Amino acid sequence: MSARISLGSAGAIAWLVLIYLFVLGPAAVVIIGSFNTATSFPSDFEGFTFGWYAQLGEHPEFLDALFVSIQIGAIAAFVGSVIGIPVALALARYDFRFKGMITAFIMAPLILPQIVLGMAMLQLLTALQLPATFLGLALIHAVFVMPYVVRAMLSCLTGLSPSVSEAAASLGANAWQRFLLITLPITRAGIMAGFIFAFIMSFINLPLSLFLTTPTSTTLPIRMFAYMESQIDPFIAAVGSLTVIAVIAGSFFIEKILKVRLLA
Amino acid sequence: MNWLEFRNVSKQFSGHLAVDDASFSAQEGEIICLVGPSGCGKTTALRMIAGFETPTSGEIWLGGHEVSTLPAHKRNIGITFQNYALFPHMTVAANVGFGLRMRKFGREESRAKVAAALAMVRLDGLDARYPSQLSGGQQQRVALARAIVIEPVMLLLDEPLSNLDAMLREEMRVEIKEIQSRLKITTVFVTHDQEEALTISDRIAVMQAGQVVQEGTPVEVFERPQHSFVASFIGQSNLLRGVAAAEVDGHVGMRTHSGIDLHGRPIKPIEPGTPALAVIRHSRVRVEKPDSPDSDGSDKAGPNVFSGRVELINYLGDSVQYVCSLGDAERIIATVAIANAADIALAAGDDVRISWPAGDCLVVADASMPDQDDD
Amino acid sequence: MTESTAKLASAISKPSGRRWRRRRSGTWGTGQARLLLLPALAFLTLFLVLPLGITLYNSFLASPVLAKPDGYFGAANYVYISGTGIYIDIIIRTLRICAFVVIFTILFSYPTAFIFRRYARLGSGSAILILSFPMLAGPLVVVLGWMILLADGGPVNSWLMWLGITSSPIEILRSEAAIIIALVQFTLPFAVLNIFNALSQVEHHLIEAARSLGASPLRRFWHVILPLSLPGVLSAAVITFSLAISSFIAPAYLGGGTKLVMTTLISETILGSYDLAMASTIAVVLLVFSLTVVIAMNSALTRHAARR
Ligand SMILES: Nc1ncnc2c1ncn2[C@@H]1O[C@H](COP(=O)(O)OP(=O)(O)OP(=O)(O)O)[C@@H](O)[C@H]1O
Ligand SMILES: [Mg+2]
Repeated sequence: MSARISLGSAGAIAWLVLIYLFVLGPAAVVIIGSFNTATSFPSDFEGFTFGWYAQLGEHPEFLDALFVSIQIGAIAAFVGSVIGIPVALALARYDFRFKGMITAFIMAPLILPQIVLGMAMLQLLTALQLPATFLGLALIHAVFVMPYVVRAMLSCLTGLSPSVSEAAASLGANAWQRFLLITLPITRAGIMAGFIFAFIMSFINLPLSLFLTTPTSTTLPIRMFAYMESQIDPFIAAVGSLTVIAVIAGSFFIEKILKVRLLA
Repeated sequence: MNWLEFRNVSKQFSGHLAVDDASFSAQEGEIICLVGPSGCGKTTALRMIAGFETPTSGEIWLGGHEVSTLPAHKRNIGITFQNYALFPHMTVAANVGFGLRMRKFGREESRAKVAAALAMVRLDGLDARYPSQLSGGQQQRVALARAIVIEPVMLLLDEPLSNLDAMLREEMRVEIKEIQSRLKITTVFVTHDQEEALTISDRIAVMQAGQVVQEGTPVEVFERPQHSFVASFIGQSNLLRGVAAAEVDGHVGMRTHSGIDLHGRPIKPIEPGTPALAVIRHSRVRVEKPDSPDSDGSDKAGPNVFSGRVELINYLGDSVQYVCSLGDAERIIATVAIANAADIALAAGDDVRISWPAGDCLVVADASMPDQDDD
Repeated sequence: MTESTAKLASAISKPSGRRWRRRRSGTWGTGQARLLLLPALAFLTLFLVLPLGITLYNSFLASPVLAKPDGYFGAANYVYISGTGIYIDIIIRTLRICAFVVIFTILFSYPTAFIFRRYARLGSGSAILILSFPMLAGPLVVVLGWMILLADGGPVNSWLMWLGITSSPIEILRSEAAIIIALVQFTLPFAVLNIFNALSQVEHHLIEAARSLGASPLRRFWHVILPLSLPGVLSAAVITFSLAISSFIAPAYLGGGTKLVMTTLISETILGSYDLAMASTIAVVLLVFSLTVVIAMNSALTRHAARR
């Protein structure tokens, strides 16, 4: 009996090892490759260097793109939060007609092909005879990240009984006071988590921006995409590794410090 | 004029009537219990008084003012919730002081009021704790202190004792009653425990399926139930279903579905041939050995005397419960007070004589739902 | 008037003696819910519905390649697409890739989720979080990794040759297989999470009840666990499908210019020839496919849930 159990768990462990290798392998290869002294891929690991990270200083266009991505991510996450937090409150607190349909509508950007979203925004700008702009880029990113804010906030609110806010009402707090003094402080972790997660989702996104970039507003993924068209080398691996590390740090912060489960 | 008037109020939730034309009232300083089974609309009624829900129809009057649509934060009503609903991010002191903060009390004054309220619920010294660091009973006390510190015009308590263990429940019940009578604050107390309702309240409104089926003093509700549901819900009773028969010297006759004839006291005149329900409190049933002499000289073969068999004995400490079979289909429970275990005179399997005074057997028209379980 | 009456009266008359407004809706809050939803609905209408509406409109304008007269408005693009072999091929390729991705992802993720569920400490700890790094790191880095791994002289080819499976480097990049491999890897964590959540809701005592009734492990799985986790599998399939059909980076790099799918076709059409009309038409077709499948699978899910 015990032999069979250990046989079963050995099989389980072997399976998990293979799955983890398969899922994490590509990102690991990028990180390992970023320390390779070779000048282009494919190549064996020829030697260890930090040099490719230092190279970043010689590519101002990547630093500019990083700056644009940070701005876009911050604006999108902010707009998404300002609009998405009330949505989560409404969904968590109230029952209303067409609730299912309205929820599906608000969550729709999650399942719509992002390339179509980006293209549609381009068409709106064209119809308005506006050039592709920073604003259009930020707006479509905000549309896209809002559902993540709603989801993070909802996961916080479901644990919070509506009677807590009602108790405040019975004690004389009006709607604003209830929001500012009760709901907001209690759900602070969810709000921060939603903001960070929304930022990450905007930061790593490429297809949304593909048709909306201008020479002055090129996001980091677009810059990487363009570079990768011509060559694959340890430098681009270094850029990729930096984004991975930043994103991993952000998500660890959400899960372990804020203790908001985004993935469950 | 009543201080609280709940007049013909209904509340509809998407096609479902949670409160159905319910009315009850309370004098200033009274404590009124809303009692009824789970889901009968007690919380909904309370929420309408508090202002969290607006009645679909009907009116709610407080102290001579119609308040049905006044927002909750303008009503000055203290409420405690079934789940306490303390503010998890605030200390005990901040929780209790929240209402004072909304009323812009000065720091010193509010500190003094918080301290007094915490002392009243015997929680002094815990002001710096957070709700998560408190036991259920302590959280309940904080909720109570938070509700009374604002000197509300009335107090609403939603099942304040149901999450506490038996010992604590008893203790808190006495405390709430004490605080309530000290503050002379009109209170609506919601519970599904009829015993709790009987002991704590000045008035009782018994609810069933959204309706108030009877309202009155505890004595009225207990001794003169006007409705078969009230009769079966209040007190521990045996319920026998059947059909009313003709009247015999002041008592109404009744034949149960299992074919037993009995006599009882009608609450209201009841037409012969209509469905009827006989209600006999467990404590009013007598069980004796069949050959035992009559203690009170009643007729051995008279009405309401039957032979049965003890099926089960439940020892309850200061009383004992005999679960007896009567005829083929009926079950009768008798609760007998005992001084000590030696007083248990019967054993399972004994044949017994079961009887009850006709005056203690209420016969009411049976407006019941078949799924009402009898115990 | 007693003291508390006075207090209440002052509370009521405080808003300058004016009677409070009667809420139009019956319940406390329906109006508030509307107010809370309004900004989002307005925002999405302006920046999601309106752009998509314009896209739909533009899809009925004629593409320049069709040489229609000015002011044409009709289904010419759709007719053209449905009659042109390249477009049909691309649509079929897109759906074929999605089908393979869904099948392989479910096959790989179910056992993984099952193991997480079986060894509860794995499921609750960081194991799942670590597994989901690729979906946080984003597809660009992941695809970069696959480009390095699958390159003609890259590690995977070396391993295959070392294992003796092939004697000379084979071309894995620029094939549908490469796209499928990368998409399975990318969608796997999403599917594992969904199935794991579904499995977590299969209550332990149900399994124990089955065990106490003498069901063997295999029968317990077949008759209790699998049927109860099926909705989770279906919703994992929905997510996998919509991620796969929407994916852009993997087909753009791993399929090369020759293995176009619908998303890369859209970018080619815009960036290559700035043909907004044709691009809009392809986008509408893509949306129809993706939404039809998602809605169909979702309604199957709802029906399943309603039956229980
Ligand atoms: N917001 C709501 N929407 C829809 N139905 C509701 C709502 N609130 C309560 N109900 C329904 O109204 C009925 C009465 O509910 P209520 O909470 O008042 O019962 P209760 O007597 O307090 O029960 P309990 O003793 O279990 O607390 C129930 O059937 C409940 O499902
Ligand atoms: Mg209740």
